[in-house]
Amino acid sequence: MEPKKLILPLSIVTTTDIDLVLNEINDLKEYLVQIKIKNSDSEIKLPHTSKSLDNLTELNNLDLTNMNQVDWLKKSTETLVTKAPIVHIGFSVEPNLLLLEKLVDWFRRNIDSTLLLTVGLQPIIGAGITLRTPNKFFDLSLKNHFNNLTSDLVKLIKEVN
Amino acid sequence: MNNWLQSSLFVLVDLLGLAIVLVVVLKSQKNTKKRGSSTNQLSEQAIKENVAQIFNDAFREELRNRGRLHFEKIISENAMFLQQDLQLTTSQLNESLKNEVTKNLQTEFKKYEQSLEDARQLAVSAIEKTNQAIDKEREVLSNEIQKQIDLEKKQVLDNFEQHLASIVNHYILMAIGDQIDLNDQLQFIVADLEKNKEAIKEDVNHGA
Repeated sequence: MEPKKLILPLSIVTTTDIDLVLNEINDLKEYLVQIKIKNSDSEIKLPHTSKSLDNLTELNNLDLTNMNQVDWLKKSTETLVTKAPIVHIGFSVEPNLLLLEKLVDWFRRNIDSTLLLTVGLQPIIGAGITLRTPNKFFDLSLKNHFNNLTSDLVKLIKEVN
Repeated sequence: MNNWLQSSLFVLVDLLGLAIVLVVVLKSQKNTKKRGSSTNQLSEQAIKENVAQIFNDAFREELRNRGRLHFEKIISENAMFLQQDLQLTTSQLNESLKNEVTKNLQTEFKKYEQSLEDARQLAVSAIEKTNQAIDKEREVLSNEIQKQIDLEKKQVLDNFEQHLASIVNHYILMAIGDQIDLNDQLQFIVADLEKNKEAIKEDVNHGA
């Protein structure tokens, strides 16, 4: 039985990741069509696939040799590419994959299970993140925290004077 | 003028005295006549002749000369008196004129001095008023400038404190920004996300 909704693995974090997976699925589908035309009865030997695609098929219990399931996967992925909610996160330094996976895990558990990220760099924020949703901007950076404390700092400076 | 009249009067008195002497002489001769009527006629004749002898032309001329001299003397004296009187009068007139002119000049000078004093007082009063107005204006201006200075000082101080705070913030960010590992920040990032979870969820699910 085919799953009704595609579950994204933590290895697929960004829109770039999902685009790569979709390209890979398209290549795989084309490969399967060609194999079917050549030897319809012989055993299908799949090409090497990416870890993201492996995780995706594993998590959704899909058989990539099954054309119907691959078609479904392709359609579901295309839907995700166009309709999945996207959140942009800005870091002060280049984030590692583990951190991104933990963050996307939080978003998918708390916000939306199909949410994708785009990642940017903002060295000026010092630490923390900036978050941009479709209509809002959340400044969760150390810089903003300091700015909020500026009045207290000015008060301290005045007391020193 | 009075002296001249007085001198003329003296001349008349002299002539009157002389006439009285002649009358007395004639009277005594009349008395003598009454004593003898026969001799009266001779005596009268003799008197007339004596009188004629006494008041002959020479005597008359002499009297006339004496009178003329006396009269000239009187005229001369009176002329002198007149001259003195005239000089005195002129002197008095000069003195009076001088006094009058001096008095008028003093009055005019007093008026002039009063006018000058009034003008001086007016000028002093105007200067004092102007000084007071200038002092007042200067005080107002000084207060205004002091207010502006205080305001600008406060603004500069506030700006400095704000800039100092920004500098401190920037310095701290620059100093520690690269030193904090992102993995160490994860706990705080997740905590901030949890605080804003509902707002994020609302915007992601309904905002697009």
